[in-house]
Amino acid sequence: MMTNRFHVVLTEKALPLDRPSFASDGATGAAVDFYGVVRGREEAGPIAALDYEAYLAMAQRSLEKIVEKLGQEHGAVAVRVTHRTGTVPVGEPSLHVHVETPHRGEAFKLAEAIISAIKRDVPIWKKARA
Amino acid sequence: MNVTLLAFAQARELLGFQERAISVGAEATPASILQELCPEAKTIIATGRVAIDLEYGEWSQGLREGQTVAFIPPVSGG
Repeated sequence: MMTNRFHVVLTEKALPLDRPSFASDGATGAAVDFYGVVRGREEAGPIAALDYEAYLAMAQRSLEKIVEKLGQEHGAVAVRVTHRTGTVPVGEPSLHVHVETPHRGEAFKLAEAIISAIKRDVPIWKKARA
Repeated sequence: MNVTLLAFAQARELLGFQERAISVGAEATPASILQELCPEAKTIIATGRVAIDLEYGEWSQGLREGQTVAFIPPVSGG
């Protein structure tokens, strides 16, 4: 069960690039926003897009567990993770990680830890589209 | 017993299906089921993971009636 401080979304829609918003209770002293963006080139050559496939039910549960566990461990004020599925064109983000903590050191560490855990454990796959 | 199989990404391409309901013996494990279905089972087992009812499990673990077994190739999200 996610608390309202922690939020996970899997979506086929383009990720919003809104102005960031912060928790209003005064606990946030640092926020890090990370975007994973589709590069125009993979090892085999230039690409037009990446097709993301997910085992949606497990990916949602896995993301929630990662965010809850790492968010608690790092004393997060808020965490929001959004991962796009389906076709993501070059130049558009496939992943957004937003973390808020009281101080900046933990914010950077937490964002990195969440991204590493996603790449290790969340059942999502990408395939290049030429 | 009856179990549901799910296959994703390269595992789906090798197996030729995304979802299949099958009936297996009481001693069946994810590894034994895969070996029955696919000549490339060893590759999938060596490089991938298995999930049982939405949690990562072991290739050699026993199964229960009605469980969902998902073949999970190396993930590449982010």
